[in-house]
Amino acid sequence: MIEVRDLVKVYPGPVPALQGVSLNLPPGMFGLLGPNGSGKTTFMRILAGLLDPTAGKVFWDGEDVTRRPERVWPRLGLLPQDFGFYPDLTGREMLTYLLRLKGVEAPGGLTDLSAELLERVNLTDAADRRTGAYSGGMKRRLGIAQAIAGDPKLLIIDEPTAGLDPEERMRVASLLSELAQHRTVVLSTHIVDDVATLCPRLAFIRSGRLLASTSPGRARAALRGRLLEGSVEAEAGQNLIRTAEESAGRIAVTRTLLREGRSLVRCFVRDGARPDGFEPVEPTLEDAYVLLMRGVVGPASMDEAVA
Amino acid sequence: MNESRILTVAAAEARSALRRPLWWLLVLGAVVTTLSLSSTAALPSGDGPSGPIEPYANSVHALSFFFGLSGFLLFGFFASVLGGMSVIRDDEHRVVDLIHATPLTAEEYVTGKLAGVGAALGVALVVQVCALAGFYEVLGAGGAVVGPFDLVNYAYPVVAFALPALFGFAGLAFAVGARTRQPLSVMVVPALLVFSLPFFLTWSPPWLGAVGDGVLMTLDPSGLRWYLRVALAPGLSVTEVNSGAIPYDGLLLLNRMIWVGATAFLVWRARRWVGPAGGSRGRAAALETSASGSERGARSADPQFGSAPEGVASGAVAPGMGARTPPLRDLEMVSRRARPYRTLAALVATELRGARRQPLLWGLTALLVGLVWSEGAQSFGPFGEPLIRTSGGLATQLFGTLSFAMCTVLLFVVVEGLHRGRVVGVHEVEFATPTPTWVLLASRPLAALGVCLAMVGVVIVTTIPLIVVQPGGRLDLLPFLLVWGALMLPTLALWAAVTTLVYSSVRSRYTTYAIGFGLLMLSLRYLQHSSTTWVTNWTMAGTLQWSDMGPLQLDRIAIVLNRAWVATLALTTMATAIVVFRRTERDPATRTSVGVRIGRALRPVAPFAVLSGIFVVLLGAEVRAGFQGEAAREVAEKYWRMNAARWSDASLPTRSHVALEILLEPDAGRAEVAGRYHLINRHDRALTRIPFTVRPALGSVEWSVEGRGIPVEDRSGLHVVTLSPALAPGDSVRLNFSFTGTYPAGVTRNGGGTEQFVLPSGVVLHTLRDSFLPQPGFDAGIRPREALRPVPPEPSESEGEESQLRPPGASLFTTTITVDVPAAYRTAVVGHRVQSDTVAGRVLDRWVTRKPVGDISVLAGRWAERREGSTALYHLPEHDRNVEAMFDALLAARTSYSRWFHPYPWEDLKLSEVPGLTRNAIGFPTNISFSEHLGFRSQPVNGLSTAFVVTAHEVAHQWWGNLVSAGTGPGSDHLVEGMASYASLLLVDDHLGVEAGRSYRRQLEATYLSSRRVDREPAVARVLPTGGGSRAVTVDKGAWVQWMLHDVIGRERALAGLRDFVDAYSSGTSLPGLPQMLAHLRERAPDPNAFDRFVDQWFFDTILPEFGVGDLVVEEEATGWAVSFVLANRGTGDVEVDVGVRTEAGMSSRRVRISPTRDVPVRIVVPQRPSEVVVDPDVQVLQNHRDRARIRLD
Repeated sequence: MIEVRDLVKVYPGPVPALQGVSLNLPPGMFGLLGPNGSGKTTFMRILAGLLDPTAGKVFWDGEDVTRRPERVWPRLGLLPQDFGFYPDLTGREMLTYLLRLKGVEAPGGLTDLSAELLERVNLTDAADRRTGAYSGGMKRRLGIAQAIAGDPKLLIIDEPTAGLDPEERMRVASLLSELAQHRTVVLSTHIVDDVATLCPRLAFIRSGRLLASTSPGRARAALRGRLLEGSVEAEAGQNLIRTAEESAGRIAVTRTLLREGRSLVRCFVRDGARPDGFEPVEPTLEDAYVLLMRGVVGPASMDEAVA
Repeated sequence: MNESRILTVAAAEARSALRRPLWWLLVLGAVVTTLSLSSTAALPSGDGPSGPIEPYANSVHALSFFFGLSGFLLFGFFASVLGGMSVIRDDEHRVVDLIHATPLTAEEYVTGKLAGVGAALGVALVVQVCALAGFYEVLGAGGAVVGPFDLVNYAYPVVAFALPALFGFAGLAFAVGARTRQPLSVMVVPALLVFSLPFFLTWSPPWLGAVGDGVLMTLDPSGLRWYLRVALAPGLSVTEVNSGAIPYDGLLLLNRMIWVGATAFLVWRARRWVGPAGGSRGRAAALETSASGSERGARSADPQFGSAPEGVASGAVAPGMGARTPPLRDLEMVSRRARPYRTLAALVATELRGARRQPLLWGLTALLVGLVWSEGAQSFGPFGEPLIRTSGGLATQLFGTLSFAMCTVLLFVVVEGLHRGRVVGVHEVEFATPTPTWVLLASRPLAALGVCLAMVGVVIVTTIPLIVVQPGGRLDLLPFLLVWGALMLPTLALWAAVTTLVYSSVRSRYTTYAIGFGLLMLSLRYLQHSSTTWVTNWTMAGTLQWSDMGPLQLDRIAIVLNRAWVATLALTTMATAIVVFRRTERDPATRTSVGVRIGRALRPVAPFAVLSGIFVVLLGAEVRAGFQGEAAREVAEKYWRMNAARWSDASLPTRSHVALEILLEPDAGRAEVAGRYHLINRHDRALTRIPFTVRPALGSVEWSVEGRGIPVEDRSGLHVVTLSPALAPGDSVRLNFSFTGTYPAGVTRNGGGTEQFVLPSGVVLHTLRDSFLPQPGFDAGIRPREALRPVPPEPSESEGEESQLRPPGASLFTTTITVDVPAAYRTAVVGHRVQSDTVAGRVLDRWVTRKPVGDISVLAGRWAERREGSTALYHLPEHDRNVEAMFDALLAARTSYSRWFHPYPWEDLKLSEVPGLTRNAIGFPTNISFSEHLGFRSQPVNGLSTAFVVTAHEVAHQWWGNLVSAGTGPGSDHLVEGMASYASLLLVDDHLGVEAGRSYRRQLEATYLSSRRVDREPAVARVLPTGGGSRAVTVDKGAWVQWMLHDVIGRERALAGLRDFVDAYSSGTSLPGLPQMLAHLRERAPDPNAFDRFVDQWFFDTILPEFGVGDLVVEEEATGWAVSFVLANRGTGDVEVDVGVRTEAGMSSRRVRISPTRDVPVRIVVPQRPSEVVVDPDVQVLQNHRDRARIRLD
């Protein structure tokens, strides 16, 4: 169990990136959802021992590892959001290089292990090509391969499926799910459905603060019955949006899609009348994310809100 | 092109450049060079009617040199980085796609970028110009001489030299960076240009010729070769330099146009290489293949994962994926604690693998090979003669250059290796692993060292042809492996560690480059300073002397301690870098106290620092205690302070005989000496206290008379013995002494050689300078620091008109010398060997002289012998290439000089090769020591055997210097060096042929002309013996002047006059000067007036004719061809010279007399069509620009 207590990070400026985040990260997949600039990456880097916090602590199985990152690294698999590889090394060479740095061993040796891992991420045919010639998706898959190598007890994955096609994303999801059975996998992303599919637990973070720590089911349950969807004329759709903006949170539009001259509108109504032509629909985690980020629904409406 | 867009790009680039520490370091460097780089280093100085004339520091000449050098070395580096990284930086910051997805065209981008870089550089240049002008015009230049202010003096050099350098470097690097997108390739540009600078400035092999020289001047990117050879041509007076403009020359214009034009062309081409398409190398999207055949998968806009429930079951197969994938746990992967050394080896191997694929590292290697070849191909001896290249000679000659070149390469390779992870974005993944920081950090510099060693290996292999192409060239790899391998490695390791520490501290690639480059330049500057010692010379540049007779035997302890110190300092620096380096970004609010940080830092650093400190202390102690160290200086100062006033004029007895027994232990560096002086009191009063100068190398000296110890007062190296009873006038005494000397006594101060030594490679001991024996009297040559020493008065012009009596302390004496050496050695001692016994593995040789000598030399070596009668040549068996030519000269000189000057007065004539720790030859009576770099390695020049020539010169000193010892008046050097050079002229002409003689005279003339100081040349008769004169005047011109005397009085009369002179002074009791020799020659002159005119012009004045042929008309007549012309003397002097017309039948010539004020019409009729008009066809008159006095007619 990884416990994060009152984590604060203020960059010079001052720029407060984290403002007292407390969280428990049990074994399994854990999602971190938030908009760009919310502090997810800062949180992940502190967890990975690459950044000192301004205040707060991180405990791992009861041990304070905040300023002892060397205690974290042997048990860590990291895939940052923005990363690259040495362009003159082949994929195989690069993976082997990183396996060595991580101290990874396998019965068949690193060469066989590299081949296996590259197979898992569908890079066998490109294994002997220089990484400088890899596409973004290939690099991300190689990054995943090195992140899952060894026996990491903590996996920190920032935007795991960015740049991947659907088949690749399914493969990656499968890998991560398998890994999450016996370790903590922290997924940071703003793709809501990745979290919805993979993570039994998640946290919403905005402007450096933790809004809620819950499960996808509970988050959706908090909206059930109050999420409506309807198809209206485009102008009617615009009117509805204006109405929602003036309603002081009683009505909130979560999505509008223009399709063949009509607006498919999805909205949340706190109480009161249902707009004409709108029917209740099953809420998605994306709805919960949008409404929470806008402050339309409060953390208390979701079970296990932040204390 | 849109100007607004160009300006936008330019402004952004300039703003970015001006904010970077790199630019500020450039400005700092520009100001520092203003204060430290002398603008007058290459300029002549002279003598005027009212005193010395110094060159103006702010003349156009001085400032051209300054801006040429500064522009090339200082600005060139920074311009390359700023220009070359311009496009690469946009790539790294990933803004390329953004900025090119606009109306901005490639031309606008390139123009704007370069304009921005140029603006930043221009500002720095303006700062430098202002600093320079302020320093010279306002502050007075700190003591340098400054002339009137003239804006043109600043403007011309900036336009002609500085701006082209800025544009050239920036543009060239920009094009390279745009094309390759690799930082290392950009760094090749300044490396290429800086490495090539010595080549362009100094490479002038004899075969190059005017055309080749012109080509090099045209291609030299700095323009300095043209400047030094044309603008500052030899013969330019300091007045002309101070007041004259630099000539407008088509060659310079062509050079600038080529440099600027080529750069402009590349920059124009660069527009194809910029933009998203231009950077496709390394950024192209690769085609993907997969087992399912799915390729170029369209990225779905639908972010839905599908309908999988919350959480995905273990081992579940993603829909549509086909066969089930085994679970990850089947791989049985584990993470163990990283094995640091294994990981380190793996990382280094990975880095090296990557480096192997960098084609530009191979380009750098090719540069290094070019540098080594250009510098290594030029190896000259003390007489300016080309030398055979040997492995050891090349290795030590190029050691300093190669070290600095490798450090420059290391700077780039280490920084790029350290920074690469950050550039590509893998550094966070690397940091978040259990691999220790020291492994992560050390792997890069270690790999860089491996790259450097590989480069050195390639350089070694490609240097081999330099040796084996020579006929008889012998290759030996040991010197390269030892010097360029083992000895250079600590230097490179330290530099790699320093670079790593700087990068770890500043975390900026460009700042590290700037600081590193600055440190290298400062080092280079400092290492040329006289205060450098073994302790501060971290590169060991300039310290090594190689001898094939025994490598690196001198200063061995200093070499070992220096390398140990540097190596441990490298470890200390690396440990510090590891402490400073941060994998985790620190939070400012939570920083630990300085004390805690220092404490944490000390623990890993301290062991190495302590070790390094121990070596430094030991090395410092060795240097201080060495014979050039502070301790010796203190002793010398005390010697002078205590004794100069009291003992410099002390009356001394005459030494009539010296007997020595010397036990040599070359392996121990020791000589045990027991000696006896037979002293006679030729004064008219008794002598009680007699001073002897005892050098520190002698250690403790025991004195006795007839077996009884005598009181001796040691006055800091002046041993004053007290005789009891006193030595009465006319009486004699045998004074005994014994000591065990160490030669040399300790280490040198900063390497270099030494004249006397007892080493396994050979033994050289003598009494000429720093005598290995106690010397009678006070030695005024032991010099304290200048502040304590009064300036000796200049000799008056009348001094030397009378010969001087030989002082008693410098009396001639006979010798009996017994030398005991290990049997592997032969000895060569002053005198004739009368006995030689071999007992118990040792040889005992006894040498005696019957005719008195003035000095003693004792030589020993593992020699082969070439002997004919009593003439012998001793040499290292492998150095046999020139032995026959040298022995031929030895025999011929003995015979001919005996006939020309005086019968050779001694029995033996020996020439012995000694280790190259000394670079010269010294001709003691019967015993000439020759450095292995002299003669034995000489190469022919224009078909003339320089080995023969230098041997002839040195043998001549048996007569000129030993048989006749010169006084100390002005011009007396001519009696030694001038006459020896003249003797060699005679011998070459006589023994090797007329054509060889002409060739040798041309060489002497060329050497004289290239090294004479136009405004400061003393007349031959006014050269001071204290070194205030000029070697060019004494050796080269002196020989010529003596030769030209043949035309005035006749060769046989001249030789007869010389014989008269030698006869008069061969007893050695008096020391003649030049006037005495001239007097004897005048007695033989058939026309004394003509003799006087000649002597006045050539001995007491500094005339130099320069002939020109004008108004040339060639007409065919009935009797032949008439060649008419006007001969002019554009130089000085009223001289007679032959002028000739060459035809197929030969040369028809006549003699004319000509002066600068009177041109002479000449008409010569020849039977056949003339092909050439030549002034002085037989090379009999010393002149300037001989080549211009020769006109081809076909």
